[in-house]
Amino acid sequence: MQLTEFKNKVYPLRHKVFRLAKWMLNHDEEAEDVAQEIMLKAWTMRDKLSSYKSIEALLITMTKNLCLDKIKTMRYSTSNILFLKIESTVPSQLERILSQEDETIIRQIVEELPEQQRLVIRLRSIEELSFDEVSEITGLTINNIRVTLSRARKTIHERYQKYMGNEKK
Amino acid sequence: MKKNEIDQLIKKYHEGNTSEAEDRMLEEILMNDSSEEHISERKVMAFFTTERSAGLSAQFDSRFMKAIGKSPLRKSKMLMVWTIGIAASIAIFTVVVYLFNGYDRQVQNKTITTGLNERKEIQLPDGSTVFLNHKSAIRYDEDFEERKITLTGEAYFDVKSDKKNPFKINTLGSVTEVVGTSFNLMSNDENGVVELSVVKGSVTFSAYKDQLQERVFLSAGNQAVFDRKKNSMKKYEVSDPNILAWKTGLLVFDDSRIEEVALMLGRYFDHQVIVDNKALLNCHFNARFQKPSLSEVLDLLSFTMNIKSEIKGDTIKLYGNGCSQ
Repeated sequence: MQLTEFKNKVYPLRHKVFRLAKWMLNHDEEAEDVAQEIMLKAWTMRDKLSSYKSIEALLITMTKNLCLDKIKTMRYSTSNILFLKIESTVPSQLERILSQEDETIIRQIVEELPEQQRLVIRLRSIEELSFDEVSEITGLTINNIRVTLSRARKTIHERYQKYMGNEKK
Repeated sequence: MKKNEIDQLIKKYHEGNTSEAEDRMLEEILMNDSSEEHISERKVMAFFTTERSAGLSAQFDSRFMKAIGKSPLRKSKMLMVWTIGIAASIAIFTVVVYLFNGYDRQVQNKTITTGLNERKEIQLPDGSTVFLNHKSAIRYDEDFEERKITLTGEAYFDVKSDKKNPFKINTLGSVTEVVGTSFNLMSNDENGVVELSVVKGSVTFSAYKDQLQERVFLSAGNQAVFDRKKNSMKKYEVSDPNILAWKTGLLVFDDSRIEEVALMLGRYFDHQVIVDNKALLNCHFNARFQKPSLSEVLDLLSFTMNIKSEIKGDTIKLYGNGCSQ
């Protein structure tokens, strides 16, 4: 794979890698280091990349594993993920729809989901990976992913609606 | 889309059965809907989009480029190779930087520009047509293998349908991607605004700046405005019949407020039009022109609403006593 192709197909994935690492490690700088490491690994194996079905799934899996290793060895705290400060570059259209408070509440609801649901929601709804890719990363069957996704989505909406109902009273 | 179709789609979404395309469609529908009904779905979708907008800065890029520039392509055990290695790594680094900046292909490209008050109709190699407004330019690879164009200024595009090879237009950090359709695209370098208005078919419009990567899907009658300075992307229904005035020569004012009239005349005649007295903001203008001259329009403003004007260089000042409600 030539540099141009790498630049077009692989390098744009760095943001996804970073977001996943940031979410797993709850640490911006560590997540950036992980993204560097993963992108460099991808660069060194650039000649083999085209033989993979989905480069995206490959990089996300590598990221997941690297983060899990880091968590094991360094015992990152992931407990205070709810209080993470959000990025300030939210587009204005979104700001109108989603207040800071909404965002905190929804984040809390999503983070309280069982681990597998959290991961599937993240890969599918946030990172927009295909069912095939999510299956490759998580090892779940596509049918299982659909069920997990459905449970997660229903729970999120039920809990959020309940919260909104309480607010109105 | 009808209400029951949306409800069906949301049900499917909750059951985990929507495809990627359906997810995107649902997101698009919910984001542009302001009713109370699907408020929780809308907010959750907005949350996902917000999460997706976090990204890495340009610092990361230079760090990465340095890293791949420094690592020699093949590891050598010989000491002598070291000096060559260092020289080579500097060379590689330079090449990498060069390539990342996009000078990676040496295909002949063609540039077409228009001067003041000059307009051009251009046939592209793929059969698409571009009407280039004045003081604008397009650039594309002569072979046009990839249907890719860079635009400065304003143009109207009539794109020949080719589903396998999308047509892409880069302008001011935004990308407009289409299959086959007609639309007007205007970029203003001075205020950093890109405005896209779709006449026929559908268009995907995305903007990249810093960490914002926003994508909107537009169909006929929609308009998107990307503001580079505010880092914002907004979508509207097009109600302005004058978007294509520069091309058709038809200028229509239908109970238009004076600010709109000023904006449109400014655009059409390439002047800056200033409304000097707030009292004028009450005025509404009704008129229809076919390739008018500036004085023709100003005369009618004066005649119908007693709005006076003063032209100094590039600036037109409108003043007067205003209109009664």
